[in-house]
Amino acid sequence: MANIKDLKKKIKSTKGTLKITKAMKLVSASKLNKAQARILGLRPYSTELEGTVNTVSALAQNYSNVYFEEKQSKHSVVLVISSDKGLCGGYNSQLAKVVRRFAAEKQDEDLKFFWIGKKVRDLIAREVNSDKTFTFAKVDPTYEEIRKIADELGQMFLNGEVGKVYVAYNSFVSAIAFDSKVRQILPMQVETSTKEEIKEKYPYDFKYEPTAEQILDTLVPEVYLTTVYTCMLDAIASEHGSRMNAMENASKNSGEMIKKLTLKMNKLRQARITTELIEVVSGAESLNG
Amino acid sequence: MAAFKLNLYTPKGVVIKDLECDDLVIPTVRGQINILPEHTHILTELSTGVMTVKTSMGTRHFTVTAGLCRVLKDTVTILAFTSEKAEDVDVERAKSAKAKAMDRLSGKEVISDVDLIKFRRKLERAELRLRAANLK
Repeated sequence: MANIKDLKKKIKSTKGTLKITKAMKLVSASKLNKAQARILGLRPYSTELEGTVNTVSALAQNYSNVYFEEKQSKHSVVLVISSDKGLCGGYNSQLAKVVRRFAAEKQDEDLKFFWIGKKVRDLIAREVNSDKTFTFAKVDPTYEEIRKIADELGQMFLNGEVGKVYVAYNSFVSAIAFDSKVRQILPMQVETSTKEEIKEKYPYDFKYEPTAEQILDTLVPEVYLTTVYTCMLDAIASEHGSRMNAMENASKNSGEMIKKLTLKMNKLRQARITTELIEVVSGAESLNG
Repeated sequence: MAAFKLNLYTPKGVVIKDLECDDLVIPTVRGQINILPEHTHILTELSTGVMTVKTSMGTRHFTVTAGLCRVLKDTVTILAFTSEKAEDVDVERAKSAKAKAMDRLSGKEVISDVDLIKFRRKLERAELRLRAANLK
């Protein structure tokens, strides 16, 4: 049976843990606020941009861009965006699960993996064909840094070196929820049904300045870039959200643990006092007797 | 007078959402255009410049750098790479940035091609900001 001294030590260390998890929760909450503002600010831009490109490419007859073309190559690249730090609940393990399933599904494609964040890489790098890991100068990547990564992958696609580019990331839903998914970003897909829908929605055409083709030529690379950037910001926001939750739960658990341990300690102490009292009383009794 | 709605989005965030306005002047790659209510549907590329919005509350100016403008059913959606409200421009900073860029471009010292482009852009941006701030 544990003695009082051991219990005291345990309570003290749990209190220390509680302090840490509480502080981490607060830090994550403030980081989440910032990250959330960034992703929510970007989303209208990216959805509008994507929508416009889809509309214009559906309306413009026979428009084709290298970004839309299917390539012959059997090679594909997957960019996996995870986190560098742990202690964020199921954030990394869930993504790893999704990526594993994806790799099993796409066995006929020769997948090559690029990484942002080392956590998922450490989990599954041995099972897949692993390539470079991208790192950033600071914790939060800048637009320029993302552009470099996007350009590098885009270049591989444009050269015909790879046929498809995927991004695996956690999409931000709310502070307590994220959605792990793998998204194909190149070649860009516009479903024929969506095209038909758009055509029905817009019986008239736009007046283009300069021309539809020229507008698309400048917009399509921009859409690609914005997509990658959105994925990155999504991933960052969900990381902080997930960590905040994990820390919240950890704080709750340590609080409960402290309560339990204190109760146990008090019971033990009370028992000891009672035993001592009995000893004293019985000692006195025996003297009197 | 009928008004139309204006949205201005950038990657950094939403600058304007559903602003009722009745006159809009935007810089496009083929020169400035003026948009009034019941404008035809157009899709045009923006160039760098100052955008002017007239609303019932008064006239406001914004800087925009490269992007896209879509006019559809009396809703104007502008997707700009960057945008700034004229009243937010830090004039002192823009002035010093302009002086610095001018100094580097003056040819006193040899600069690389990359720097040349960089400082030309900086100069352009600083001048744009000052222009917007002066219109205020």
